[in-house]
Amino acid sequence: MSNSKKKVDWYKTVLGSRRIVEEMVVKSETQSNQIDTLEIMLSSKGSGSQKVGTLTTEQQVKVEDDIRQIYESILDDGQLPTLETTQHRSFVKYFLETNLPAGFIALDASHTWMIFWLVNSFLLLGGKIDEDMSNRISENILSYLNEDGGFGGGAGLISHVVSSYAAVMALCLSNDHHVLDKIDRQKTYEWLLSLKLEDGSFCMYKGGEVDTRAVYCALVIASVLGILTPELVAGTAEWLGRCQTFEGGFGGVPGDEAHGGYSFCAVAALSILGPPQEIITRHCDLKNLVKWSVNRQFQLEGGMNGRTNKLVDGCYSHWVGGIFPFLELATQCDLLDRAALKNYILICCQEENGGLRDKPGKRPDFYHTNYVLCGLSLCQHKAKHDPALMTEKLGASAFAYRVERIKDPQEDPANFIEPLHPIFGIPMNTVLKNREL
Amino acid sequence: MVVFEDFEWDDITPIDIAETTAPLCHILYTEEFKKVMGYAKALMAQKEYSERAYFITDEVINIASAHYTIWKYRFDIVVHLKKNLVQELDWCDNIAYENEKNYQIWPYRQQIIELLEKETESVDDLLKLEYPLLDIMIEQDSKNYHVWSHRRWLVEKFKLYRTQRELEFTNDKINLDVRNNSAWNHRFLVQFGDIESNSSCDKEYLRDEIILTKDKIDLCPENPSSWNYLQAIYKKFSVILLIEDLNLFAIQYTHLVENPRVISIQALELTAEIYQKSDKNKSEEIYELLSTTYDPIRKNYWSFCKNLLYQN
Ligand SMILES: [Zn+2]
Repeated sequence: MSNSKKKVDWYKTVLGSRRIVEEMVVKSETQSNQIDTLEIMLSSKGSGSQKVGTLTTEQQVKVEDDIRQIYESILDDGQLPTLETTQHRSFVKYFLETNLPAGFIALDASHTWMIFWLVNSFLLLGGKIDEDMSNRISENILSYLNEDGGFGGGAGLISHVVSSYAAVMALCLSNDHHVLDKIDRQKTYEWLLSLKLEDGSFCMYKGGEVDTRAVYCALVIASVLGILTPELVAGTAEWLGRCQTFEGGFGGVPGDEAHGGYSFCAVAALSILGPPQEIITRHCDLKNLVKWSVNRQFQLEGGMNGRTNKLVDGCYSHWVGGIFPFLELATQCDLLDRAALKNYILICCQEENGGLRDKPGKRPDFYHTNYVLCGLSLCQHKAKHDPALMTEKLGASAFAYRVERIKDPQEDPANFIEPLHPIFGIPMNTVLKNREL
Repeated sequence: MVVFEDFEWDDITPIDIAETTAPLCHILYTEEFKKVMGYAKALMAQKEYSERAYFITDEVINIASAHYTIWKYRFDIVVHLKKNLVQELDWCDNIAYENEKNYQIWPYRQQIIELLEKETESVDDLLKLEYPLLDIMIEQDSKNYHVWSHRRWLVEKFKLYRTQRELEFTNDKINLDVRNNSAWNHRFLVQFGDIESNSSCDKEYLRDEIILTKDKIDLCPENPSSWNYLQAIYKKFSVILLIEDLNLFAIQYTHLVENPRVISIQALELTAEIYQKSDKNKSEEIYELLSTTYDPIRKNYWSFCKNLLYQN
C-alpha cells in the first residue's frame, strides 16, 4: 500500500468527514503515479553509504540530504505541488519589461539570450504575445542585426553565432510572420560560411571559441532561414561524431569531457542533417550514447546532471532530457523515467514567488526558468518523426516532427505546458507558423 | 597603475549605448560602465590601435568579461602595437581568476600562445607560463570545464601525450578525488589521444594502466568514472584485449560471488555484457535484477538492453 493511500485511510478515521475524504481521494488518484514514483526514488540508499568519501561525495551527500528531506515531507502530506503557471508567467513578464539592476551588466553581451529565454518561457507557459510585445521583440532584436548578416549579443556588438541563434529564435517567437524577411539571407549565409573551419566545425566569431554549441546554432539558423547547403555543412557531421567521448556523451570539441549541453547540441545538430534513426547510428556509437544519457538521471533526485559525478541541476532536464526524443526515435524504446524527472522539476525547481531554478537553495534565473520548463514539456510529450513530412531537401528532416501529449489521465491539467520542437527548443506552433511561409 | 586621466580623450566623442524606444531587458548601467563602454565603442569604430585603446579594453573587460567584441578588439591592438606577449598572458591570468566561467579568455589565450610560439624557442618555457594558472584554477574548482579544455588544447598542440608531467597531474587529481571525471577524461586523452582505435599498443604498457585502474575501482566500486575508463581501454584496443578477461574482476562486485563487499551497478552491467555471447539467460537475469532491485530509475534502459540481447 502506498503512503498516500495510508494517508487517506488515516484521514477517514480521524476526520470522519466524507466530503474531505472524497476530495483527498480524487486528488491523490490524479497523482498516484507520481507519488508511487516518489516512493521508488526515496528507496535509493544514496551516496552516503559509499566507503571512500571524497569532495565529490561530500557535495553529493549534502544535496541528497536536502532533497530527501523535501521529498519525505511531500510524501507525508500526500500532496504534490502543481506548476505555478501564474507566478512563473508574472516572473517572466516582469523581467522582460522592468529595468534590470546594474548587476545584469555581466549579461550585457547576452541581450538576445535574455529576450529569448523569457519570451520562450512565457509561450511555453501558454502566454500569448500581443501586438505591442510582438513589435517590441522584433524592434529590439533587429537592432542587434549587423551589416554582415549576423546578430550581436547586444547593441553595437559584432556578430556572434550563438547570439544569432537566440536572435533568430526570438524572432520566430515574436508572432510576426514576416519578420524573418528583414534578414538578408544571402548575407547571413556568407557570414556563416566565413566562420566555418576546415575540419567541418564553426567558430563563434573570428578568433572566438569553437564547439558543438557553435555548430548547433549555425545549423539551426541556416535551417530556419532556409539557407542550409551541402557546402555549409561539408564535414560537419563527421566533426560532430569525433566529439563523442569514450563515455558515450559529447564534449565541446574532440577530446573534451562528455557534457550535457554540448551533447544536446551535437545530437540536435546531427538531427538537422537527417532523421535521428539514420544519422545518429551513422556518426556515433548509439548504444554508448544511450548508456551515458540514461546515467545522467539520479535515482533519488529524479533530475539529471550534466557530467559523470557532478550534481543534479534543473537545466539538464533540457540539455540531457532533450537528447531523449532523438534516442527514443533511434531505438524505438522508452528510455527516460519521465515521472521521476517531473517530480524533480515540480518539487525542487519551482521558486515560490515565480521563476525556476537549478536546485533547492539556488535562486531562479532566466536561463534556468527556460530550460527547466523545456524539460517539463519533454516529460509530457513524445516526439514522432513522420516520413510523410520529409522531402529530399537537405535539412528537411528537422521539419518532420510531430510532438504529441502523452495521454496520462492522472496528469493534472494545471501542469500542462506547450509541446517543444525537439531540435529548435521553441514551441512547436511557432516553428510551424514560420514554416508556412 | 595606469588610470583613465593618464590619457587624452578630448578628441573622442563616446558612442552612447544605443537604446530602442521600448527596450526589453533594459539594464540600468552604471555611469562608470557607460563611460568606458562609450569610449571603447568610439575607438573601435575608428579602428584605433593605441595605448589608450589598450587601456580601455582592460577597463571594460574588468567590468563585463563576457564582452566578446572587446576581446577581439584587444587582440587586434596587441598585434598592432606588438605588446609584450608574456605580460599579456599575465593580464589574462588575472581575468581568469576573477571569472571562472568565462568563455572568451581561453581562445584569446590560445591566440596569444600561438603568437608567442613564433618568438620562443622552447616549448618548456611556454608551458611554464601555463602550468601555474592551470594548477591554481583546478585547485579552486577541480572540475572546471574550461580549464581542463585548455589543458587538452595544450596536450594536443605540443604533443604532450604520455609525458610525465601530464600523467602525474591526472594521477594527483584522481588520488585527491577518485570521482573526478574530468581528471579521468584528461588521462584518457594523455594516454591514448594520439593512438588510432583498434590499433596495436604495447601490451605491457596497457597492462600497467589496467592494473592502476582496477586499483581505483576496488577503492570505490560504485564509481562510474573508473569503470568507464577501464571499459574504454578494452574497447579501444579490442584487437589485443578481450573484454571477457574482465569477468573475474567484475563479478567480485556482484551477487554472483559469495559475500560481495559491495554490489556495484557498473560491475553488474559489465558482467551482463560479458555474458551476452555465452549465456544470454544470465545476462537477462542480471538486467532484471538491475531493473527491479538495484537501479529501478533506469528500468526502461535495462529492458532496452534485454531486447538488444536477442537482436543482431
Ligand atoms: Zn544549470
